[in-house]
Amino acid sequence: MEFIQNLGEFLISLRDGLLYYVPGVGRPDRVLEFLWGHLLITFVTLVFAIAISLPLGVLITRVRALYDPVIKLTGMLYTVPSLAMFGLLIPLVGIGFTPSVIALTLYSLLAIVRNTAVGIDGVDPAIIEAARGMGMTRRSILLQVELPLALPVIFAGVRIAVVSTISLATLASYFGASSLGKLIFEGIAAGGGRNDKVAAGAIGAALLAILFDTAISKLERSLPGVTSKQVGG
Amino acid sequence: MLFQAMWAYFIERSQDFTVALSQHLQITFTALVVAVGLGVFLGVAGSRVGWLQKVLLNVGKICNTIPFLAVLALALPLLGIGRPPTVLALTFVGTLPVLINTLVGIQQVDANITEAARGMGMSEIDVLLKVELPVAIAVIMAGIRTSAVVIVASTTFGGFIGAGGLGDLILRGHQLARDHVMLLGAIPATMLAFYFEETFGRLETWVTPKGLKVDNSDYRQRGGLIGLLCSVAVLPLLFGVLLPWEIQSVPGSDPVILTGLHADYRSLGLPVLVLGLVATLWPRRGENGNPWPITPITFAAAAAAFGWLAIGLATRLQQAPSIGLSVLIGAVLSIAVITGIELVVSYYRHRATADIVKLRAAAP
Repeated sequence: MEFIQNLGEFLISLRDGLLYYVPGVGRPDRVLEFLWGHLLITFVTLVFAIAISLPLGVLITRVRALYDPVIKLTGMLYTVPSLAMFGLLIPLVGIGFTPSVIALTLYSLLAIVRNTAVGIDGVDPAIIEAARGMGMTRRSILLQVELPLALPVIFAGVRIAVVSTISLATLASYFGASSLGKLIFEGIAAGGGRNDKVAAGAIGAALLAILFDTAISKLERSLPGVTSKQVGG
Repeated sequence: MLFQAMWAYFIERSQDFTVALSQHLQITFTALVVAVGLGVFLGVAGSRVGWLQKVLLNVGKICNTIPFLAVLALALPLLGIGRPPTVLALTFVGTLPVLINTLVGIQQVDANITEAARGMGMSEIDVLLKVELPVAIAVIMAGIRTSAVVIVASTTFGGFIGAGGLGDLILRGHQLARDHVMLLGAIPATMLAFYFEETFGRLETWVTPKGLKVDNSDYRQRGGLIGLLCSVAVLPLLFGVLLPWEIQSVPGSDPVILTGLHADYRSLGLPVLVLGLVATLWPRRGENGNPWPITPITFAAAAAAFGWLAIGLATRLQQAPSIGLSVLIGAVLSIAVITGIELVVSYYRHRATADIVKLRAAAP
């Protein structure tokens, strides 16, 4: 009996959560503001993550000795619980946008670094041999042969990074940044009275993650040239 | 300074810490047991029924992208605040990797093998238990490891909705603007995640049938059964020694917390935990792992932890807190030094292998 009642309440808060998006009934302006913050964090994180990971991924395929330590270290960073990551970073860099971006960047490293390395390693040695035979320098082999061929695999890594960043960005709003998680935390702080906010935030964050995942994997499939299977990703 | 403040707080409020840790582990294990059972059951069921398999795989993959905070937030209107919604949300996210890996693992089993098994007259149950599951066990265990790490890491979120746990300490520290309280929650939570990753990784290696181990790609060669037992031994240590037992003498009254040990002794808890974790995390080896005497080192570290425990029990050291801090620092330093040496050694080894690879690549 109690369970049915709970289920009813659950459905009601889902409906109220959806109503929160309707102009006049809810506050779509706030949702938009948080959505903007959410996307901003994701975007800035992604820029930093790619700027660090791509060279790192190339480096570890060139200097083999660094391969294990780098993969292991980024793997360890990935294992750190997200809340604990914020707990460890806040004494160092304070709260707000910056620590959120730092934390999320650290989480994104593993996926992009590993996929870059795997993608470059997967390029057929015969192709590289041919490029070298044509007199290409090591640099142009990297830029014109290896990276383009590894692109689908790298892109898959970027997709994983984007989805995990969107997912973790919800948490960032607890520590002073603006994201859809803000609605969830406001709802929780209201002490049970504002389950509509909780549901609105949850629905928004979930849909955003699913949407980006689907969209990027569509984009991934439509990439020109080699598919990930052909380069052994 | 921060670490000293953290240590002082730990000594002073050790009961808060142990209560948080025990809540954390209770929530984690409850969710993990249910998630593994449910995931394997659904996975096996899905592998028997064609349409169910596709549905479960697709739904599982979509659900996997939902942020955990959103799952937790949706469990909130359903079950209110406290432990039940946390366990429900954790079970949900923990079931997915187990489910996906069970489905994929059984799917990957060579159709010829199952065909041969059926041809030999094995019943469906026998095919499942004696052929499919043993072949798929490595993949399933990988799913269980992912699930365990995700669950133990996400349990910290329980602090948001009043389920307690180590996340509670982090959030309390944040609200009070006391960094050392936050660290006292964050550092053990991180170590627990590493611990789960490592122990379940060992378990994964151990249960993989010998014939299926790929020598080169299987970089989790971690000292076999003794290594596994040493790392698993940390948990009873946690539960039996460090953690309090709650007793409710009169129904309705506040539970009495018994650590069962002398007050000085409680400060020994963390060093023991740290040493156990060192024993667990020690043999992190690379793809072409060095033939280091992993097992003896692991064993020695675990033995040292137990020895420390015995000394603590026998003597009830007066300077226990300060000794505890030095042991903590010593353990961390030793990990750093050993890892450094290992990196240098593996650098030279890799350079040698890289040369060989280059030679091979150069040959026509």
